[in-house]
Amino acid sequence: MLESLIVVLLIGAIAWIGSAIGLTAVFGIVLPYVAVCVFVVGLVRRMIYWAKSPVPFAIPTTGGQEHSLDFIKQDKFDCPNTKWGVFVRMVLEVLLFRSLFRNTRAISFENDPVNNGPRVVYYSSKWLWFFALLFHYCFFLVFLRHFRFFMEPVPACISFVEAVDGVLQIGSPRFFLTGGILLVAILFLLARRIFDQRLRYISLINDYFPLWLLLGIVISGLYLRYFDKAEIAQVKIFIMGLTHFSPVISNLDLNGIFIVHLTLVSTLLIYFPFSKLVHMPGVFFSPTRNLPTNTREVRHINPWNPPSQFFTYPEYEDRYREAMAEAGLPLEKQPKPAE
Amino acid sequence: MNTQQIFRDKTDKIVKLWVEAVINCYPDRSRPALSSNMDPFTNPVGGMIREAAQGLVLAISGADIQIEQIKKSIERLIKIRAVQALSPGEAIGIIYLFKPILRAEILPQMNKPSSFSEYLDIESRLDTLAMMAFDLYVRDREVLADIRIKEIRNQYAELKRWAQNLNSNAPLGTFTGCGN
Amino acid sequence: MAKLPTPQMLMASRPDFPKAAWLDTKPLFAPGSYCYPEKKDTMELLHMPNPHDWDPSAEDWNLPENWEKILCDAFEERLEKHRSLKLFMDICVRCGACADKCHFFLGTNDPKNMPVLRAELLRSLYRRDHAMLGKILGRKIGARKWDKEVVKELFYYAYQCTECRRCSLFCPYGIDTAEITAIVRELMHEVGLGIHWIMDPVKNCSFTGNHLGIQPHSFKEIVEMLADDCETVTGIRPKTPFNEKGHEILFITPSGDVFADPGIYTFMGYLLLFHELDLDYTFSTYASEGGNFGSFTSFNMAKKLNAKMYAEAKRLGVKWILGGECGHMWRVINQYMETYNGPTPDNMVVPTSPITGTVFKHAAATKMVHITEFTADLIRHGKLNLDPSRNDHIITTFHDSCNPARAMGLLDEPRYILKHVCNHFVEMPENTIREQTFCCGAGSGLNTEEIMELRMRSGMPRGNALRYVQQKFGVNHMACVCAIDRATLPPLADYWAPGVNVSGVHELVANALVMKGEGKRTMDLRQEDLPNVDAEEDQ
Repeated sequence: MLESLIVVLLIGAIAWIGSAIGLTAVFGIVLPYVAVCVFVVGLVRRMIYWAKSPVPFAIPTTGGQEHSLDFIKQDKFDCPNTKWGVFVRMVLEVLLFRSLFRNTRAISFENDPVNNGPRVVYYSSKWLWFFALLFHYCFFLVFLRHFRFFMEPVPACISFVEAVDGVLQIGSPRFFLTGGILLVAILFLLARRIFDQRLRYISLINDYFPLWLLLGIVISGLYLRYFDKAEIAQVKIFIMGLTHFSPVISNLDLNGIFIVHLTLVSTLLIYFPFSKLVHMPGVFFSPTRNLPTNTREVRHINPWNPPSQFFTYPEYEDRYREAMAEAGLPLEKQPKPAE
Repeated sequence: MNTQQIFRDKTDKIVKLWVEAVINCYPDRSRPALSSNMDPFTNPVGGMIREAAQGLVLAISGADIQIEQIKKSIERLIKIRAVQALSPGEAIGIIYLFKPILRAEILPQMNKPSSFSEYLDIESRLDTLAMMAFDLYVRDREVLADIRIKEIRNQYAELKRWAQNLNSNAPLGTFTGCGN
Repeated sequence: MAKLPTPQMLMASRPDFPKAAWLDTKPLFAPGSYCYPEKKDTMELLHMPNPHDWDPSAEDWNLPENWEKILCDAFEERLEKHRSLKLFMDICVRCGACADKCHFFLGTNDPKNMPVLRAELLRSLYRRDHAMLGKILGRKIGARKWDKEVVKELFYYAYQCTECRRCSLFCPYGIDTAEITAIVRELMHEVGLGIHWIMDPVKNCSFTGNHLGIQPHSFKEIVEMLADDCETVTGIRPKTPFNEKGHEILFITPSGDVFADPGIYTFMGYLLLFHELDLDYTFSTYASEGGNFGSFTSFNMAKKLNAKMYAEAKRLGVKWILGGECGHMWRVINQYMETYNGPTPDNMVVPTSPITGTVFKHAAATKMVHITEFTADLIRHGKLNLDPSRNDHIITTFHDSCNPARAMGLLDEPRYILKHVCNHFVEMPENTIREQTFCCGAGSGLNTEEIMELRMRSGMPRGNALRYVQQKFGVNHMACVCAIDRATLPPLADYWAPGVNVSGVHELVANALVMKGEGKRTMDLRQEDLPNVDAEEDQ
């Protein structure tokens, strides 16, 4: 847990020092290009790696009533038997975290009348769902907002997102809700891992590292916007230079914290394809969710289906023929009369 | 001050201490599971420990109780401990974990000639409860042995009837009640 | 000489684990926590790899010499064969949502029974060989190498999972521990490790067609005995057609229902129902086992045992197959059968109920219908004359079996039937039923008596829920649609909620069924007196 924090701090420090001793070009230009390449290539390779293995069996988890008889109401989206149903199921899963929404927690009810004392019930628990959803959406919106640096002119939709995000109209520059909420959500996810003993037991360094990294990115980002007030115009010229493959750097005065922010983002991009973060594309591949539950209606093909070998009926009858005949069971071949 | 008044103020604390003591008897690896951060009892076994604790403290305090009710409150905890790979002593010994707690929490207030015998009564009640737990434990183990046998018997129930039929041409009726 | 220890010292004298990460703790093979190993000759007979004698509690498991290479290669091969495995190895974020969903974890409090850690046991090996960071950083990020202790650990926890899929329902990425457990069991079989309670029935099913290895003629006689019992109760002796060609339907049910109490009463229920309907059907002694013990062994073994169903359907020339109440049998039929052994023989057609004319379109490919779908349809069309008051002494609840619930979605059909054959039906608490049902604690081949303690621990969540409705509503009966449940729930109920009886749904159906030309019913299928009969006699 602390190790991964130290690693993140170290990366930040290296970037800071790098920018101070004139290596801005390395951290500001080379690293981002490398990171984007690694991210794209790595992610595509991971997806190809998955796709190369077949899905031998259709194993959707049924989360509700199947489609069977007319008078029994099917749970169309938790147990979908059509492509449309599967599409809705996946949309619910990806956009609303349907499965996490189901989460329950064993809770002890004090003074249950039936039990005359405490009783354990499995109670709906939505905290994890709520903060996970908050985190992912805020992250997405913050990501979207950054497109103002990548595009000229700024698309109307980005401006709209910014307008909504800054609806509170406090502070100057205007406070964006998503940035603040993102920070809170990351802290919740981190606190869960650290303080819930059960989760701490299962957490690995690979679980803390991305959280610390995101925390670093968010804090440096917030710092740049509200405290250091980085020169937006300069940053934009720099980023536009990057996106147009003609990086400019020499006549710009780039902030050290900006380089740290950029380096941490690059680290995230590089780390992404080799870590659990691949759950983002991975969820679309999940055979327990993305297959229709029509397995009795349509045959699913297994490309490596081995040849059928089993104890056949003729072998069976050969073994038991006399006894079967005596018991009056119908036979393919009558036994030889006893000598 | 009589026993029950002392207990009135101390019940919650004694319950808490005993539950902790029981959880601490589990090996390290299962402790994170038994006591998780938000509510130490967010799991069935934790719930059973707490359910038992309340019943036991009530009984120890000498309040008017129904024996059946107390039995019921510790029943499930004893049941789970009877199948948790513990020795019998370990399984029901948790009752005696009350002693150090009582001596720390209750005894100082009763450690005078006028009420010392009352304190001894408290510990005697603990002994009764331990015997009660022992009875339940033995009953549970017997049930366990029983269902093992019953399960094996049930698995082959029809087979046995068929085999008995086979051994003799006599009608089924003559077989019932003899030789099995 | 020593002083007598205090109770506190005795209590804490259990072997304690160091404050180590899970990567370093080792399982404790205590009696009651592991199943007996399979016999060498069974494995040889079935052509399983590396059969050998071994003992789970021994230090040395006599693994074949090149065990590490065998396991590495087998793991590699499975990664290439199953996208699910690759994916489930990569995408877990260890959010912990699955942790307290597992009945084994709730009952044992062993952290490695959290689905996430159960999978992590395999994931740690995956990281070393198949993930770049694992190759570089090793242990630091939870990667480790194969060693004999790891093999023991995998075995221990693969046989403390009932493949019930409850965790997969709650996983945001749909990671299915059943899939992982199934593959770990396959890996264990590669080095000759399996358990007797699974392999012995596999052998028997393979060669005789039923899990106890009863030969065809005896099997027939046992079924006929059950038909005689039906006559004792109802005055009607149902027919028992066997291996006959030219019928419309082949009926297959788990053979446990022919041998084991209380499954036999469910079987009698089928006999009476089919007789009343004058159904054109036949049993088969060759394909008499619906339950597929192979599915607890390996995908191939499951295929092998399952193949007999279509082979027999073809030989007998039936139009479709009706399947009895069984859990894992229906997992295989619903999700694997058509893939394994399809397409179906030419003589088979889309199942149509001969009584109501309902076409079971949802079974158009496998051509197999679940008996509760069949019966619910009959009741809906008013084809059965039912007298639910005969079950008035019963207050029943319904246990959703894992496989029909989470691998099929069969939830409302049995409930629909129960509500028509019983006047008193109550549900167990929310979040312990339907797709969130708790396992009986002994599925997937773990219903053996040597691990009774483990079963009682893992069945505790189900037991608690049952005990609750018993106290609250006076429930005295639990119906289920699974032969393994009928074997495992009675002990569970005896332990956690004594006084609750267990039966299949069709036992209750037959008790309520008013048959044409039947004698007066004074007892139920168990030949116990019906308490409500006297009142009727006054008429």
